[in-house]
Amino acid sequence: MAEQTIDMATPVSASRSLHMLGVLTGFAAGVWMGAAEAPTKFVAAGFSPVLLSLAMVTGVFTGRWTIPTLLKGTGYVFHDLREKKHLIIWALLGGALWAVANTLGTVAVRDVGLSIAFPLWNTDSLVGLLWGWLFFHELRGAGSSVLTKVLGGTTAILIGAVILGYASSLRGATGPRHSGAGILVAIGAAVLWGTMFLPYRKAYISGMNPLSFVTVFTIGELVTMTVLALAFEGGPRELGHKIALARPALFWMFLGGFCWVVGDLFAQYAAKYIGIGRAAPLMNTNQLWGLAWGALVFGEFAGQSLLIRILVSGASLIMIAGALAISFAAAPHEEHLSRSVASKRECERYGMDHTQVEASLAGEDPLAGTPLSRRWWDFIIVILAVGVFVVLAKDSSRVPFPMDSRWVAVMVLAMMGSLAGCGYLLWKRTRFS
Amino acid sequence: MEKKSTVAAIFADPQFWVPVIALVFGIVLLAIYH
Repeated sequence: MAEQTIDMATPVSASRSLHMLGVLTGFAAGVWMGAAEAPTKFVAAGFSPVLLSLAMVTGVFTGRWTIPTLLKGTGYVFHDLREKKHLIIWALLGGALWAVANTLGTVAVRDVGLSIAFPLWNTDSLVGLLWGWLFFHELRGAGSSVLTKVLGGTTAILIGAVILGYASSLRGATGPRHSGAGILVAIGAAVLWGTMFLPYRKAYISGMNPLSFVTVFTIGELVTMTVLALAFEGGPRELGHKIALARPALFWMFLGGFCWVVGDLFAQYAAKYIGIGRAAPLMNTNQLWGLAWGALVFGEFAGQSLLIRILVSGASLIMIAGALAISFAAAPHEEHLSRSVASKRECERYGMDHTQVEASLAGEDPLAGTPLSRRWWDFIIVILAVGVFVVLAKDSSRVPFPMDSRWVAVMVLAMMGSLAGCGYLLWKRTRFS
Repeated sequence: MEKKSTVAAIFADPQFWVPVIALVFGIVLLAIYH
């Protein structure tokens, strides 16, 4: 059995290129998830956290049926889901965890402010690392050098988050209202977000395609958020009234959702190819990009003291150093063997073909030989989804405060660069498998 | 038959209960502090 596992583990040269691919998609996830905060930033005021979350999740769901549908059609996705139907409940659970965690996060921001809430819920990467180590044998056999890079990098990103949070609080954020409860809720959000990585890894150690997982994940998010909104916003009639009032701002919330789903897709590929222990902290660099949008595009730090500028610059450098440390921590052969044992266990438990699963984890597409071309209805779905964005854009409110258009161009360039670059690499190396 | 065995395998998987417990914990927290 040991020999069989050794034969099936990914070869070292292939695993190094997949590691770089996973790292780059992890960084791209940060870029797009950070950008997701920008459109919602200027419409957040005046809307309840639950309504904001619901609108964004609906945008995420709609966004999933735009570009991602062009990558792999519905035939491919449903075939993949049929082959691994035990993972459907996992993807739904993942989406439900995200929705509840996100709502807890907004409650925490209300109670203790972003400066305390953000660093606290960023500890989700530690929770993800724990589950990765415990259940999927990540980092086992990694050696002290790789372990130091991953743990050191994760710690550096956390320290950066704490300093950024502190710098934000110096800008005159509102004081805490219910500090004890707010801290508890923020820790709860971290536990839920960190545990959300468990379904991610569960899916990929079983060779599922990220596009299939995201499809069901977004349904889990939407259903959970709808139930939460109905429960907390006073029932269907009241919720409908609030959505009608929010109509002019819906486009921006949907746009945030679109950015989020692109970021999440990159995060899923990162989780598949480098595991959750490494992918989670890289995703958390989204805080840096969120801050860059605030500081550079919206001028939130204009006229701030030298201390704040030094803190923000220092924290950003620490976060970048942490992310770089993780990017150099490629899994050695022993760690791949350890991961292969976990993968074999999944195959035995759920009756999957281990050879096919290992091929998928090595970047191959197990369904490549199956004729699953895009059908005419895939294009109808894309047109309808894009149509929703166009209709909402027609009635959208204008941005209520000035933006620096040069910095908008720079940020959009970074987003498009990461989309085109990582998209090309994913296609070339894995055919979006 | 196959459907039943898939469901049984999911419930017998100890990892399955980790996100379930976390979700219940999160919903309870929300209900108390929202």
